[in-house]
Amino acid sequence: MGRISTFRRGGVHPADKKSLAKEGRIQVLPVPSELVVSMSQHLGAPAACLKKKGDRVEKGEKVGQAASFISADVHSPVSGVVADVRKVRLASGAVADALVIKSDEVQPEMYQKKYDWQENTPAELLGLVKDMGIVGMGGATFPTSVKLSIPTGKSVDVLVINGVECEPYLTADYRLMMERAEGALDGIMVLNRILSPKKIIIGVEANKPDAIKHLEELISVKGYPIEVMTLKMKYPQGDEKQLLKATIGREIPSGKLPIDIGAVVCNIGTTYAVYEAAVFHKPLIERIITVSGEGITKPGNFLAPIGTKTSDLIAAAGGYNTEEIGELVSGGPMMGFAFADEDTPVTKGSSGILALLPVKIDTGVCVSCGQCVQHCPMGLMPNKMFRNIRYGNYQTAMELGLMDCKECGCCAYICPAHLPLVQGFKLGKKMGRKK
Amino acid sequence: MKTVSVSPHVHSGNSIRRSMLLVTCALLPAAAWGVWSFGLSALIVLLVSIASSLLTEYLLGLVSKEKTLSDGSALVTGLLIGMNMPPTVPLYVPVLASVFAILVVKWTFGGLGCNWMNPALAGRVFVFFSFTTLMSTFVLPGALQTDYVLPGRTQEAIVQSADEVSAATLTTAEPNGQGGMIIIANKFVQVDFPAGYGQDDISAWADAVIAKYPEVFSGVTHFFNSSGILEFEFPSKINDLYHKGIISIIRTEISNYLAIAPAADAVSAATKISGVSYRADGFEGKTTIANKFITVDYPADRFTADDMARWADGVIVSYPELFAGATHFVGKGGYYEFSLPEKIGDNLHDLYNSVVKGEIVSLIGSAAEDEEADAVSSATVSTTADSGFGGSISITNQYITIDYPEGLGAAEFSAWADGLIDSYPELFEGAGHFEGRGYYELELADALPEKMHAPMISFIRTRLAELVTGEVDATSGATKTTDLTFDESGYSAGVSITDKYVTVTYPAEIISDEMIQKFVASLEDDYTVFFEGASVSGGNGNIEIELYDTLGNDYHDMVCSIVETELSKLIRKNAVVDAVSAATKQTFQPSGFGGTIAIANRYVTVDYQTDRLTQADMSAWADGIIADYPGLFNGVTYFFNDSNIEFVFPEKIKDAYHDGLVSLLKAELESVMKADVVLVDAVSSATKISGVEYTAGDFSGATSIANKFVTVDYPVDRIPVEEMGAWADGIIAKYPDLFGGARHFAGATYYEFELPSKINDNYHDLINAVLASEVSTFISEYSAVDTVSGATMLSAAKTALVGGASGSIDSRLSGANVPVTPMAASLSEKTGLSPYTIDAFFGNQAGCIGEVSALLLIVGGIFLIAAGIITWHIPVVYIGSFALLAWIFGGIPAGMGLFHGEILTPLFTGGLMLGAFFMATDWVTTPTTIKGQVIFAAGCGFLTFLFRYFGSLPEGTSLAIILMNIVTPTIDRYIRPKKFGYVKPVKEKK
Repeated sequence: MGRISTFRRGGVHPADKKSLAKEGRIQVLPVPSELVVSMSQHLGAPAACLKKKGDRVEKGEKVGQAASFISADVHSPVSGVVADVRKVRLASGAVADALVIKSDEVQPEMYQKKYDWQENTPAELLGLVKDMGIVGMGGATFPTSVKLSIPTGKSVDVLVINGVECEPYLTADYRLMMERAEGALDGIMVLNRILSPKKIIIGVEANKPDAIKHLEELISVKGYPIEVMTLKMKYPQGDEKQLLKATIGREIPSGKLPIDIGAVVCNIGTTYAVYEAAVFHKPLIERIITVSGEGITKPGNFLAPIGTKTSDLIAAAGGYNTEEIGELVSGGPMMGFAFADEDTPVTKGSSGILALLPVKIDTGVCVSCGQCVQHCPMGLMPNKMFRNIRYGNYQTAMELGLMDCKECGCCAYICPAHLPLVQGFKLGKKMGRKK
Repeated sequence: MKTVSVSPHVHSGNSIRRSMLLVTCALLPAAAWGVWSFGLSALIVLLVSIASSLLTEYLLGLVSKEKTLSDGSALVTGLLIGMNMPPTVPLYVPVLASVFAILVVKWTFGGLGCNWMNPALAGRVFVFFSFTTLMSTFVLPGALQTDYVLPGRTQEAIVQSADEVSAATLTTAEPNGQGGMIIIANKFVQVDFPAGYGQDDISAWADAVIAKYPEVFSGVTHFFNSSGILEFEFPSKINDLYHKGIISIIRTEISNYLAIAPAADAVSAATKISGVSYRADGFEGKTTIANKFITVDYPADRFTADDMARWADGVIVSYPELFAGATHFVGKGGYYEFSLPEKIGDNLHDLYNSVVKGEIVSLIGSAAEDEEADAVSSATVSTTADSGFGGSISITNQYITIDYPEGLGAAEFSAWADGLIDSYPELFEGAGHFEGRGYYELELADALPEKMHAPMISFIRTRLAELVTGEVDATSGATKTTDLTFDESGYSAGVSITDKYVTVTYPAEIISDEMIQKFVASLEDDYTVFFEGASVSGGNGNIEIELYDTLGNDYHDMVCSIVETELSKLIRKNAVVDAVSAATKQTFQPSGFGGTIAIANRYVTVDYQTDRLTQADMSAWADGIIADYPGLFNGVTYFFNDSNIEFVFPEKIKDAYHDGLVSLLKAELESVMKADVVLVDAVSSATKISGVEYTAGDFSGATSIANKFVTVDYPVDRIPVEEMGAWADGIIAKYPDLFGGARHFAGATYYEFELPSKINDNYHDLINAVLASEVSTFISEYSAVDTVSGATMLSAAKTALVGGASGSIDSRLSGANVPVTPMAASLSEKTGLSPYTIDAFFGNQAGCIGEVSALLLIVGGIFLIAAGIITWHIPVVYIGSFALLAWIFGGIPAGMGLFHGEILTPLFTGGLMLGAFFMATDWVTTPTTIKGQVIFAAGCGFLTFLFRYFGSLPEGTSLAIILMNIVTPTIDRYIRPKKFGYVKPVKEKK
């Protein structure tokens, strides 16, 4: 193995805190008695709800119909009865229609039968991906079928599989790579068939050497044309822009997509879902979630149905170890969403639930230290954008590249004055778009 | 209680407070080193700086209701200010710096984050320019006060270096005191000798000098170089310290020689140019004597060349002793010039000047009277006089107004006037007349000159009398004789008119023939009516003026009156000049040698020192004077009184001569007194007490020579007697020619040499110069030792450069006696590095409290980089750019050329390390982008280099950083990071 590569500009090195849940093997969460399945599990238009209160649903049954091109089907994760259809607030703060499903005490054993996906055409496989409601599981929840539909005139050079998992605390992908790597690799081969790229790379950060070793061994055993690339630890390497820069050295031009530079990026968790969809025709109804944080008694990784309430996961992880919980976070601490309601359900993009201890942070004044500028992976000047947003100059902030900001949080993470930079940018984008 | 906040939900732990504390920690080792090196005072300065910064911040926090004390920025500012202070600075300086930094720089713009200059640096620069001396006064660190080495300054080295210095052929050129130069270079002394002396004379003089000063001129030969200038050639190069003394000796001997030599040839030796200023009637001018010419300024608008010629003739006639054979002419540009037959002796200058001055002042003064009168007549001002008949006669311009006498009317007057015009055509040709109310008026053809007013009134009065009394002297054509005698200024004069002859008697002793000729000529000019075509005969007190035509009887009174008036004026003018008979002035003037020179009547007495000069000496002297100044001293004899010599002049001495004579005698006396030193054994007669003052660091003292003793002050509290003894031995060994056989011992506040014999007066300057130089060097060196004040390396090197030194920093520092530690000296031998570099690196140098230890500052800086508070870019680029420029161009001011600049010592001295790691990296005042920071740092490096090497101050870091601070917003405006995924917009083809 040669030099360990990474992206060059910006980035931070938060303490990874992965040791909390790293060794926690994937535990299958007992089916909760009540689930809340949101129709907005993905990026794009929410799915149209197909059930109403009192309807019975079966495990794997489609309960939400993709409402537009960028949308995805939603399937019932359990067999049970729709107890209610109501609006729920998700961790992101968005409000969406959701089915409250009382699950049956006995759940059917399903998806044992293997299909030979090799017999399927790429188009059939793509259809499966779409029908099974597969979305990107790294957090952005972009409908995978859309991503895999290569526009005419473009071709795929490289398929990059994102095994970076650069957010601290999260170990879901790591456990997946350790325990379910074969499926993930097969999923990659399914994608390979769909996209037929010239090259396939799995990018994994150097803090997961055993996962790298495991993957490489499996690959060599199976003889897959996949390269595992070790990447230097640096946040936000899991972002597709930084990942592509780190792995293939190409920069996605501002406002463009990976396919514009001949690349497709796919989360390793997504490839596993693709594997299950292709081999077992199993819809995306469950995912691996890391439950961690200093406030959790027994941090671990759980395979939980979509729609599981946070409280169930926390209880499964031994509950809180302290009264003093600062924040509950869905996703990683850098980009995840804080929420207060423990009934908030997990969605297809929930990679983790974190219970963090309170941190006392005093906001100061900008001292022009330039750390945000130096750490911005997008080459922006957060200090200037923030100052302009603070004074309502949204247009100037946009000209400074506000729209290129992906809210990775490096600036706010590093800011010695603890300025709420990301908050400012979220506001600025909203206000800027309005105008 | 759970909270909900926007991502990110973790933080790096960075905070302003933490950063400030880390910076403080990083600064502490260097600050502690400063305290250890400079002692308690340094600690107090640091604490006062910090306390005043914190207090200012606290008070401002109260005012603005922002609690900012806890962010730690004021702590860092205070610490940095303290570290930028000299250790012994008065405490109000750091207090003012802190208040300025926090109040003005930081809070004026809104507190932390808003200042546009580094507050600590701004504070430092503020007090630096307010209290420059205090901020530039440094002490050596403790390590150098106890044990030190002076590189290249061992005892042998001192002796050698003296020789080496002179071997460096310092060239000294100074005036010889006589208008030429004395130049000493290498082993040659070139002497301009005043003109007028032959090579034989000069050779004799040079031989005498060599013989007279065997100690200094031992083995010296002399020759005339290709330009004919005398040169002494010494056996070896001449020690620089001797230069001044040798010049002093030669100067003295030349002046001695000139003082004797005038006896032989004073006139030809005269090279002096002298002059006096005068002021008369608003005119300012001066007299000047050079060579044989005397020029005198005069108001050319008031005097014609003829006037001046007449005046000059008068002067020559009046002062035959001085001006015999002189000619005169008008010079270009408002002066008149006398040319004497030969050069005017220097000693006569005063005499000539005072005489000429007196004469020109009286000329201008008396002319002023005339001019006033002329001015009146040219104006329309009338002359009025009593007619003698109950009315008055008045003349205005061409009008003569006559009041009617009682009983007469216009008719009588008309007839009378017709008669006048017919009878006296000379006066009334073309005149008219008419009657007025109560008066009658004659109108002449032209305005009547003012000079004619009085004669005309007199004439009219006579004619009027004839009219009134009816007696008419009809025999106007007949001749009568009219006599008039009068006295003026004690002289008798007279005028007699018969027929057409006017006989004038006048005092010939004061009025020469020539003058009387001119007098008549002036009459002809002024009174053309009567004197036109007149000729003069006779002279010597009696002349006869033959008029063109017989003078009518009626004109006699008028002409007599004219001659009387004008002649009186002439006599009056010349009477002042003649002083002989009137001489009553007595003059007493100090001779300058303890006695007086007295002039009274025809006697001049001159006191002289009878203990030093015999009557024979003075006889010779007096004979010499009489021979030298044959004109002035013609017929003079002399005799001796108890304590003086008395000259007897043949006649009373003119008052105007008194001052000049005193001056002349003084000069002559001086020459005999000085010549005495030459002639008599100089050593035994030595009576001079002399000394020079010197300073060495903060000590100032003087050398002093009296008899055979030479004393030098020295700081007795600092230098032990034994050290002075060793030094004195060294001096005796080093200057055997001067100090051979001397003994030495300590005095109360001084150290004393006792020479074997009295010290020749002429050696005083030499010995004083040598000793003052040696002792001040010694004291400076010794002081460098156990004291107290020391310049920083940068300032010492810069001062040396300004003082004319060049070469490497090491050589300049060692030349300035900057000490190093023994450790550095031994390390230097092992490594070949400069001991100064080593000391500066470890912190054994004078400087501000926190800037001396480059090592600890670098350690602190690396700690900050490791802690992520600063990046390496600014320090590395700053130091790197400075080092690069210093290497390329830094050798130029020191005369070493391109690519010969030293790097290490400049890097470790001054505040560069402190600045590069701690000041130029200040978050608030530096650009936010790395690219910007690199530009900023390169700018700092460039400016620091510029200020240090080409500015007037030794140090430039603070100012460089502050200036770049000001540029920071501009850098941030234009230097932006490259955006991720930024694609250069493709220009659309048109």
